[in-house]
Amino acid sequence: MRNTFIAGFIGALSVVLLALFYTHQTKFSSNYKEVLSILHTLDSVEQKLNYNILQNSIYLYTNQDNIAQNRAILSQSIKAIKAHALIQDKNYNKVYKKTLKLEIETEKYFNQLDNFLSLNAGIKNSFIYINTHAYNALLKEEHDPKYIRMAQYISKAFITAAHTLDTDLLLNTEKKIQALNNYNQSLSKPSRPIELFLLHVRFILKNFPPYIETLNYLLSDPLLQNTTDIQNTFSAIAIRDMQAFNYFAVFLMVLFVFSIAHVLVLLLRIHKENKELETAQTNLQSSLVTDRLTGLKNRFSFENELQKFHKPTLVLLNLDNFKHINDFYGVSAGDYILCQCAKILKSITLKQFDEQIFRLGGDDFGIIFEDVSQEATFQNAQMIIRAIDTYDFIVNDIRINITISAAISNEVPLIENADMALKHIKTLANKKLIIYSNKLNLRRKILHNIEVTNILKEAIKHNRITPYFQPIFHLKHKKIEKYEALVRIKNATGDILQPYEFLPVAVKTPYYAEITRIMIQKSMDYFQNLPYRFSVNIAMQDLLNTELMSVIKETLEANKETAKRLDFELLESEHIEDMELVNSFIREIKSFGCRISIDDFGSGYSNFSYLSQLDFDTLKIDGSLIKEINSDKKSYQIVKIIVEFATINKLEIVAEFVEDAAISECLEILGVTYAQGYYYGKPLPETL
Amino acid sequence: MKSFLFLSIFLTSLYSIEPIQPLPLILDDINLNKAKLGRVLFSDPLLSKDGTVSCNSCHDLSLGGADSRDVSLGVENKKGNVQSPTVFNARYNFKQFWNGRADTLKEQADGPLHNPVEMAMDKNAIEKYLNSSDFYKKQFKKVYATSSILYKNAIDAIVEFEKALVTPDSRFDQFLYKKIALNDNEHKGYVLFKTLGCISCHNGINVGGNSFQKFGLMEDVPHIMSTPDRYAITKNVRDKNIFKVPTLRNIEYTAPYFHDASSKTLYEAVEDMGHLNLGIALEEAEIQEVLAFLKSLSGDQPTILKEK
Repeated sequence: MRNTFIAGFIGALSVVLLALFYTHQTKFSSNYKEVLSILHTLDSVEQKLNYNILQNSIYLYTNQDNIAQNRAILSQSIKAIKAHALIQDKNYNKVYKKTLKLEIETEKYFNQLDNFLSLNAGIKNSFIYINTHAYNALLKEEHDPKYIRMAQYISKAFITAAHTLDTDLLLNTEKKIQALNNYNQSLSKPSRPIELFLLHVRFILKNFPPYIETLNYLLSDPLLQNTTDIQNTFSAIAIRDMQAFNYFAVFLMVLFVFSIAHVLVLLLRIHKENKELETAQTNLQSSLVTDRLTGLKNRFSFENELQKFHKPTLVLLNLDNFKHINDFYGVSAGDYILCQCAKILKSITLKQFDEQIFRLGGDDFGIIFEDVSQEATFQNAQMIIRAIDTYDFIVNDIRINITISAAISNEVPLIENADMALKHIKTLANKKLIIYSNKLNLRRKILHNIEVTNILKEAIKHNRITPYFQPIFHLKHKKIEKYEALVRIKNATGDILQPYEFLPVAVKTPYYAEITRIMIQKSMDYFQNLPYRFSVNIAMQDLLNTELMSVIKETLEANKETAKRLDFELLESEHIEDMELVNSFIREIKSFGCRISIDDFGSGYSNFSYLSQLDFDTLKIDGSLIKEINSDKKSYQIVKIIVEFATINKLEIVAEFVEDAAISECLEILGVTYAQGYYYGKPLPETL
Repeated sequence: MKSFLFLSIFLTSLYSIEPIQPLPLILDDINLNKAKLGRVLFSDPLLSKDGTVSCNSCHDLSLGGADSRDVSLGVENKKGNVQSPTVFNARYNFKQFWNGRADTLKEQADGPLHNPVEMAMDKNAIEKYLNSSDFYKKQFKKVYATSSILYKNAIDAIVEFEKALVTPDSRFDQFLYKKIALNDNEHKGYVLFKTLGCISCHNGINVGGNSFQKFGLMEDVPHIMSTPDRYAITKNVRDKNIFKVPTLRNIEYTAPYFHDASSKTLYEAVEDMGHLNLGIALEEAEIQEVLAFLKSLSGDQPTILKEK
């Protein structure tokens, strides 16, 4: 900013100086030319005068006007120099002083000139007179021839003197002049012609020497030295001035070039800064649209790039169990695998279909193809899946194999549809590739999820989560000893929603924990003063929810007596990673006197390895086995084995779905402790 | 210097060079409005201290632009010390006044206005007088576009008028222009004028007025201290009795002659010049012939005087 100001200032300054310089220089230049012209006039008029004088001395008579004119010009020129603005300047004082000197010299010169002109006229006339009029007049008179010859001699000597301009030649005439004069005086009546002859002779004798002297002076260029001196002095000073002008011009030039250079530098700098800004912007932009880890385009750019496709088909890829990889081998291993996957994707897709590859999320990759048939896409996707599935990722010398699933969609919204399809096949075993289609009804499921979630939200908000109680009958004691609290939602219209209508959705929402909490709270309140044990369902994942667990513990703490009669029915449908943490909660719960039962045993993932790890009290045999205990031999045998296993391990057994007396009897024979089902009572809002 | 060797050669070509130039028939450098205004000023006696003397008093435009009196009379009839020279063709003199103390007409015009024995005015008095006159105010405004009349403008107008005082078309000029031939006497006079040596001083366009010469070159004339000669300016003994050579144009109308009016007639003047400056005793016939030539130098009245 400051630099810009300085550059601007210097630029403006140089322009102003340039303007000043120009006017000054122009003025000087014109002044210089004027003075030079006057000096030239001075010089030439001196020469002209010289010529005029010479001419005047040669001719008997001339027009003397030109002498008068030239002397006037000479005077005026000197005055003009003296008065000239440039010469008045103190730098040119030397010239001025020399001009004053010339003026004085010229004054002397003019005096001599006047003197010359005056003498010239008389002398010329006298020479003429001696040779013509006087001599002729003399001849007309009667004189001694001796004196006539004398006059003749004098006359000739004078002519020679006039021709040679040598006054010495006149010296010899003195005696003869004297003699002629004496002769004339001796005459009774002096001769007038002799008198006049002698008058002119004497005039010449007297004035010829000063005349010669004056002429020699005038023709010796007496002003030349002064004039040349003035010219030289003036030129020297003027050259110095001009040099100063030149230096100043160079200085201005340098200043100007400097400011131009400065501006250029500034421009270059601005250009550079702009470029840097541009680069930064580009980087920023690319970082906005590029995934830093893999270098692929990111989700953000996906939307933009998608616009450029006319008939896009998306293949959405998701690494199976990638979270597990990260947790197990560390994030750096995960990152490495992601990068490798990106490379594999890039190497496999050869841009045959103008495809673009994106990393859409943590372990989601997407490839958009342009105008490709479903079959071709399908084959491509299969190829990718095969490539990744068979690839050995080496991390820290450990070989890791991962699998990948893919969904293909060419229906808008591409990514949502593909995602739904992908989620869908993740729930299916042995299916790794799916083409999205409306027929999958995936969208409807999602809408259902949203609807149910809303119901849950409303129900919690308006306290419509309600426990129903189903009796659990002790087969040996022949009486109801326990109740299981089963969750219901009372609709705004008063309808009761069954768990299957909302629980599958609720399990995947944060509301599930809340439902669990409400069920525990309400059940404990209900059974506080009833003589039954009662059980509440709890998912294993709930046990990992520390917030929920602390709430539960507080509730148990507050109702210690009731807590002793509470059973937790563990739903083991979810895969549990940290069994130790689950066990630590179980221990805490049991310290309140609570008991733990395994729900739906014999179905889903359940296996005996659990049983060895978990400290539980009761097994609840899954209803699907109980229902068919009398009709399916296999079911019967499984139940029998479970009972034997339980008996050995001193576990209580509860059988669900006991719907008739036959089943009840069978269970009693097998040695099952408790029976639960419609035969003994449906779930109701109240105990029996 | 050595050129005198050629003198004899030049003697033979004596008559081939015409040393006198004719006056221009038409002046093309005159601002007529200024000149006309100058004409009024020239004749205005109110420009003098007592309102009695104008330029015209001593440079009578009807009497050859000169004064017929031996010396001019200024304000309060004060006597001057010199015979007034003609104002006609004065622009062609190389200097002004008898002793050439003014280089220009402008310098000259300034002189008599201030001279206590001539008009005895000063710059302020003249400006005051001119500015009090509606006539002058109107005229100066017209010519100089100034509402306040300045002394320098008045001088300028007078000078412009004087520049116009040229007397063209004399018989001799007509001869020089080859319009006419001179009559016998005139021609003989002109030849004498040249051969006797008058021409040595009286040459050029003004037949004189371009050099200084001694009055009494061949025969000394007693020097009078009050004489306004070159000596009065230079105080150089050599300059005693040295005056500007006067013009011979219109000489027949400007009697008396010489700075001291020592010759009352032209005849006497020619005779006096013969012995004083040429060292010649002119014969009657010669004088008559020279006079005939001199009279051929009288020209027409200046055009400006005929202007309305």
